[in-house]
Amino acid sequence: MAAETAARLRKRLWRRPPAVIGAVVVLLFVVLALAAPWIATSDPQRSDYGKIRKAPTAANPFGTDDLGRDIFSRVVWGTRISMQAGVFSILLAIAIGVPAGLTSGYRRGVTDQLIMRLTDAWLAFPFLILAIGLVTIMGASLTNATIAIGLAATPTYIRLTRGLVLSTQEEEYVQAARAMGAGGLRTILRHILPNIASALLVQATVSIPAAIIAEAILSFLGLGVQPPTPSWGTMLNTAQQFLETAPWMAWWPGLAIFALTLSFNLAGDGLRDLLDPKDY
Amino acid sequence: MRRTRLGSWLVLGLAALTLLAAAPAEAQKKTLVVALNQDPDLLDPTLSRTYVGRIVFEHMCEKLYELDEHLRIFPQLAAAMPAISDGGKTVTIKLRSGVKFNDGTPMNADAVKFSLDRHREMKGSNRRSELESVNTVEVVDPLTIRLRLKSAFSPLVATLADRSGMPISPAAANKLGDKFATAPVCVGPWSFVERVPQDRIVLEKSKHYFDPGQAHFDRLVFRIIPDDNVRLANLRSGDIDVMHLVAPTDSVNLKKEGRFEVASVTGLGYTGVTINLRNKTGKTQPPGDLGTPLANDPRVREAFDLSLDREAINQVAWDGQYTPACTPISPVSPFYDKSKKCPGRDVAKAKQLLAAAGLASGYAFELTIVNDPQQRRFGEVIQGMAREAGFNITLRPSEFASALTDDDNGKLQAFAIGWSGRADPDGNIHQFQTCGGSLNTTHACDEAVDALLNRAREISDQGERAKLYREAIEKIQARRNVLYVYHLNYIVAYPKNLKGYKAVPDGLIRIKGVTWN
Amino acid sequence: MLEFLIRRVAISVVTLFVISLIVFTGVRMIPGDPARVMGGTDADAAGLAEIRQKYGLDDPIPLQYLRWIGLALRGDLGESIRTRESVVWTVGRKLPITIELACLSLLVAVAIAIPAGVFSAVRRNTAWDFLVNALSLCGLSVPSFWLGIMLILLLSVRLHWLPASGFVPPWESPLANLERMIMPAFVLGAGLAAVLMRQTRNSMIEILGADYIRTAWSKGLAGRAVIFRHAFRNGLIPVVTILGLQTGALMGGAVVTEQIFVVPGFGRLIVEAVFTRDYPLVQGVVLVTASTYVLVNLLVDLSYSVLNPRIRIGGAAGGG
Repeated sequence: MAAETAARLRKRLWRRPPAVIGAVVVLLFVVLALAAPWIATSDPQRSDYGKIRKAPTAANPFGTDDLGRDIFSRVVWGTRISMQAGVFSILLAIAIGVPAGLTSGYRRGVTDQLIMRLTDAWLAFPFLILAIGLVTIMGASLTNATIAIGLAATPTYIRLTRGLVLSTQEEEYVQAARAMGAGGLRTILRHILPNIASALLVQATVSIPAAIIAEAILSFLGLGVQPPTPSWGTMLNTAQQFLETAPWMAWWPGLAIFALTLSFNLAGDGLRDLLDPKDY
Repeated sequence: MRRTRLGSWLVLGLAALTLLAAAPAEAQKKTLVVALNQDPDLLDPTLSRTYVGRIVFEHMCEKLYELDEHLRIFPQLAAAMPAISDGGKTVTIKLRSGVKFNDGTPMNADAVKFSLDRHREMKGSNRRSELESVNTVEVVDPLTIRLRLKSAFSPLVATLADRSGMPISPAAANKLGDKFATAPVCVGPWSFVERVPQDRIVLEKSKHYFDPGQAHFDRLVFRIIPDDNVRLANLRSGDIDVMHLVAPTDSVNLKKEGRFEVASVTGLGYTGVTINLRNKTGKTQPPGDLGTPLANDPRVREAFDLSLDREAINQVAWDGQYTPACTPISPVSPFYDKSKKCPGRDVAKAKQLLAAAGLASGYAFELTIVNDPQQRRFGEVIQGMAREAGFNITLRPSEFASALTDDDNGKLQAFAIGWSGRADPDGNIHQFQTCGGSLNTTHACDEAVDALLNRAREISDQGERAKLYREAIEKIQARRNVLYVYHLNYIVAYPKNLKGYKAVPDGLIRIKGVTWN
Repeated sequence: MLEFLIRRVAISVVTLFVISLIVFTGVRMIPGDPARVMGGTDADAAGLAEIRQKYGLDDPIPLQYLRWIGLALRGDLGESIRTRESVVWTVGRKLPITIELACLSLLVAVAIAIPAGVFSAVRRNTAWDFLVNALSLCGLSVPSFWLGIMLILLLSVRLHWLPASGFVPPWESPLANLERMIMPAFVLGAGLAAVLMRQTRNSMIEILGADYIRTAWSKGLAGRAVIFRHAFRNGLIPVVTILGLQTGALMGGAVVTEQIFVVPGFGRLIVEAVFTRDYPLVQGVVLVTASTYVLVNLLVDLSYSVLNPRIRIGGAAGGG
């Protein structure tokens, strides 16, 4: 039975090459992030003052930046920052959002109303403005930026979970179970969790790229990663001053963000189809 | 049927385009657009604190005295240089006659007294410390005022060549009170029209200025464009005429391109690293022991100083466009000591010193920098250089205003910050380096230094003063509460057909007398 | 219908109240002493005490909150510390600019997304569909600030087709205004278009397969009429929902876009206010932003009843 499902899933997967490519590229970036020390060709923080803003060469395949540092190495190391910020922030959002949504959906009544109003208010603040505000309060650093992004993304997960809880409760088999006296939290959890897992995964593939871009924007505004740690956002910020003399400083970090986000979106699309196929 | 209608719309559209596109070109000739990198704060000479505010004031709030491009002070709204008597304690200033404020009211001794008193006494005035030496201001006759000082103070004239010397219209001030900034009225070739925060300040040619021939533009618009890149793009596309604070790299490119005139002048100020020595709870509170080697051991500070290669910093961070420094006095000042050379880099000695201080395995501290791309780069270069000597510096970018507050409160270990500079060397040194100086956030205190600096502001002989400053600076350089690293060059770019622009070392843009070719 | 209306409005009011609490406490948590920020470097203890008294900074927090809310309800949001201008006046000057930018972006987004979405729904699973999907994915993934910088480099600096930045009010010169708004509107609209494209496609496909459409077909109405009259109206519902939700994203996206294109609107105002610790301004601005979002969503919810009468009876859509 499991082998059959697996085979069916695999067949469906192969029908959508873009999804596969997306997943592969994401994995590549993960590998890049983990293996950065070995893949990077030089120390991302080492300045060579004789090589300031040099165009790409064999020694520096992406060129050098305004302090003579190798851009390729910095992009590679920057992957760590982006992946960290992207993944951990959403994990935080899930860690807070899911229990809150479960509580809200299961308990109903006053608790539900309270959580929902809070969520509504929370959602009313534009994501970025919320992140900026939180980082301003907490101080600028990668950790704080990650937390801020996670907190800003939380309401989405609260709503998602709550919605799932409500719709699952409507399911007949759950009502039947209830009628047989097996109501209660454990039943709900047993029925809901499998559904939630796939829905969360799908939502995550949308949230993570948004979080990655949010980290880039925060770093771009000077509110995220602090120098000399390389982040694609800070690299883009610095690159702005040298767009005409050293445009390669802007190409590569921008492309990296683009490639990573695109891959997540592609993989996410594929995942969504896989787990919830509507024959479009 | 449809196609022809579309066609006629297209033609109409194109026609409108060409008409509207043609219009701005003519308008530009009479209006000059200057782009600033920051929004000035309050446009009230008594309350203003920003450097860019001074640029706007140049055009709508003239002052008793003014600087020329050789840093000589000459009378602007005063009729002559002041008469000093009574051992330096009495300063008599004759005012220019026939001068009117931009609301038509006359500028006379009463108005100037009103303004000076306002600068000295108004609640929240930021000119108070500048005019601290003034005891009273008297009106001698309608065109003469007399200042009685508590003690001789030779930098006074230079102070009156800045905001403290700006008369404002008493009529307007009485009407608006502390909201004067919403519609400021002083003496100037241009007068205030309107202001859109974070966007623009608009001035128009004054109907009351005594020398209208100097204002060759009907309108002056100051646009606020903080982003260097965007400001430059606007210059290139012709949306702005004069660009303030061209980034060093961009200035190199602009010069190469040859389309624009690039004027660079070494400024009066300095930028360096301010190191907190004994400020534990606040600059107005008693000093305390910070307990760190950086604060307590001069050898550590010397090692840090020796790890920096000022020439290389200038090359790498500023493309060689600024001026390396090791004293608070700028090379453009007549008080500059030409005989002294700045120490070069000596990593070996730095390591030795650290080892002698018991920190052979390295020392970590936090350097706060202002959160903009230029300062970040500056910080990173320092970080890299100091690392080789064994310093592990963490950079902490911070927003300007909160960094200043933290500095005041003693929260910073080291702060990369500068001072825009004053024409008189006293303005660059006294308040930072004397015990209890109003801007001495490091709590560095040496009676010998105080004695030298206090004497220097009492006597008026330039040679004597220069000697005193030389001695004082030697001591200041030894205690290293401020490491002077560079003097900012003020780089301004404008079209080649704009004539008459003179770059003054205070870096303020002056459009008076400037005209199209 | 009335009950629905009242319920929705009541919920919005509660939400607004919660928002004001969040804004107020949030701003109080920003590090730094507001009195010191207002007083500047030269303020002494007496000066600081004066400031604290004037702004009531020493009063207990609940009292400060009530005072703020009381004034806010009367239309007074205080004064900006930096410019001494009334916050309401500053907001009133800047908000229309961002609204114009947002509307233009919506126009751009809708102009691109809806035809593309409908087209790909009708031609689903063909090469066109694939192309539209690819475009939408790219639009979702490209970082807006990078796109903005690249556009400036190409269209202003290299080609001199459009001015790099700035803002000219539309009553001064509609052409100059549009010239300067095209690029930022496109940058903002591109991201929105990407989202809309997919949603339009999906909801169109759903609708096209729905029963009442089949009924319309069977009744013999011409193809295009069916699509545009029935499917469209209902297909708009989720699209309108997204527009409501995306208002927040638009305002957030405006922050970076306005920085890059130097549009003196709301986004830049927020960043400046936060960076300069201008507390009254931050409070006022964030309050207005969040309230606008709530209002827009209220309108969206109310518009459902216009678009699909069945929803009136069904109860509130989405959350609560």
